[in-house]
Amino acid sequence: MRLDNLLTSSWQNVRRNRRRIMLSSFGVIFGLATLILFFSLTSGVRNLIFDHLIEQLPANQMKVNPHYEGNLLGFGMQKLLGGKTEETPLAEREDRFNTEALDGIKAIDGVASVHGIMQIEARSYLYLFSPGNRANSRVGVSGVDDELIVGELDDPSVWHYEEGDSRVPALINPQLVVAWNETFSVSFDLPKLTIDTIKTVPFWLEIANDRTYDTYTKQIKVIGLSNRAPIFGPLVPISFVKEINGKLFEGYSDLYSSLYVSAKAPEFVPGIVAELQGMGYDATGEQQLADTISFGINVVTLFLAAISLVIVFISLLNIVNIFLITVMERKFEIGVMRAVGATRRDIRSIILTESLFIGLFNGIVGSAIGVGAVLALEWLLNPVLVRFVPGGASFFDLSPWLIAIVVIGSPLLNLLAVFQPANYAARLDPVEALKR
Amino acid sequence: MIKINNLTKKYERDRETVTVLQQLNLLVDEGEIVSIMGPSGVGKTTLLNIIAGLDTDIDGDVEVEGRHLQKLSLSQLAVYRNKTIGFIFQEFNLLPHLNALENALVPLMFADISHSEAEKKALNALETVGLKEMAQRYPSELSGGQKQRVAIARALINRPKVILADEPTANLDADTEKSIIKLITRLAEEEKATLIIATHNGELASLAQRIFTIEELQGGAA
Repeated sequence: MRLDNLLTSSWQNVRRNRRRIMLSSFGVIFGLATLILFFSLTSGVRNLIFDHLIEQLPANQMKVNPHYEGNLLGFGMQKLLGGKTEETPLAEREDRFNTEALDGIKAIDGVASVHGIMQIEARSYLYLFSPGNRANSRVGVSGVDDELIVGELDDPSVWHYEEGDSRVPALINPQLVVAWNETFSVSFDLPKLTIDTIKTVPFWLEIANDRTYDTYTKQIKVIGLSNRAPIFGPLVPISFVKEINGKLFEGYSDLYSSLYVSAKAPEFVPGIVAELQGMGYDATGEQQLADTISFGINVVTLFLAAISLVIVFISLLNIVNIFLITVMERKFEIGVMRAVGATRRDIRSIILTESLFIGLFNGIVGSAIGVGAVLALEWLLNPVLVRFVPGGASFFDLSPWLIAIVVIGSPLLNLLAVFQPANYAARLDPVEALKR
Repeated sequence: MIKINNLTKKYERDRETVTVLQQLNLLVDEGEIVSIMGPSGVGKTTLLNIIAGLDTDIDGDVEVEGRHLQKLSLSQLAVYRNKTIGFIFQEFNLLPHLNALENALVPLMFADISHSEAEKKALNALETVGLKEMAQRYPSELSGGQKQRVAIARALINRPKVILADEPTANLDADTEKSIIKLITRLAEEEKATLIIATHNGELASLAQRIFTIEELQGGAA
């Protein structure tokens, strides 16, 4: 049978049965649309997390935190459980690394360097323009070893602080700028900021010790952006933090809130992570974090994909059933075709081509609905998202490959599903089929 | 030429073997018009189905235009039905969802011919049977005689060597019957095709050069 005749004949049959086919196709179309929606969502969320929400570390670096239950439970809960909190004497603080702990970590095989993050251990306020005015916010100030940060700066010479300097260089998190521009700026009708404008704004930091009522004030000079900076607060040279902590609280100048541990090579990371976990710390290598997040996203993706595929599968069973009924109803027609020269292969081809047409229709319509749903949800949700992450972020990642797979896969799935009814039709005895 | 030797056809019904045709012999020359008479249920349609290659579960030998049908594969039988046989059914057997033109060209769908060429041929075939103006009408919009004309156009569209007509006028009124009979015989003669008509209608049978009953064919060589 020639291809043009095959296509003409199959198309005539599809048109003839279009109402029934539309009804039976509804489930498949819905399933394919949800498949596109779910995959786009999980892929988009994956990108969102990896590109914007987690700190990107070099492959040989890991971040280490003390395994302190207050980290998980919050201080309120920690107090209820009778744990050791901010009020605990320094020597007994479990949520900080001391120099002894640092030395222990440095001694682990494969560790190249350990850089501490130190927080100012007092309430800190960031003032705009001048200290004491009303445009202020409570912030967390972190200090980082110069060695760790200078390699990431365009001009390392600006990252310098010595006791007595009038200004402290600082880096801020890019998400802080986005949050300002999309939330505060909009809510209070304030101008939007870029890093260049921020660099010109004078900030003042006021640190207060609630117990002694001592305060300390310093001008902050923002020199750039860094993902290592805390979300709400500046990242400054560690020498400044040590100076403040030393002045306000005796003995606080050698306590670190977290550490960046660099391995000699990426292959050392798993061993170091295991060793650190054995020492009771929370250690996260870049790869391990990525693996953990990826695993979680993959599980969700598989679960959602399974839901879609179950919908598609059940609907395909319905299509198989419809085709079987149609073949029974078309027995006479098949008998006539066999009587005038159709081979078994011709009959099988006609029915399979019909299923290809239907599958292609389902794939195209399902994709269109899925893409439409993604675009509609993007339109609804992205204005909210853009307040929290830098521009260009989306909850969805609509891949052309996904659409291509659905459009091509749908006819192939239909082909597999309809193979049995097509085979049944091909094997009908023409003499029996011609009996009315 | 059609040559049938010792044809026996049996089938199972309610766990019993029913013999429809027993030791049947028939010889029909090329271009000859033959009638096979007999009441309903005697095996006329079965014989035509066997000659058409639709029913191959038989004993004996059936040779049509030099082909021994039992030796043909299913695909070869399909090609044989398409190229060599033109079958006219009692019930017309038109497909209700296709118009007259589309019904007439159904055999060409399975021949090595383009769809546009097939449409031209089908239109010519409809013109031959006097239905060119009704090409776009569906079977439900045609009279019994018109339906049978479409069926004749379909049977003859591939210019078959053998035309098998199974009670072609059984569902038609007297006037239409005559015109259909004339049409079939005229076209068979024009095409120099062998025509076998199965009928219980004596008037129709009398148009043939030779008339047989199934009993006669089972009695000896014919």
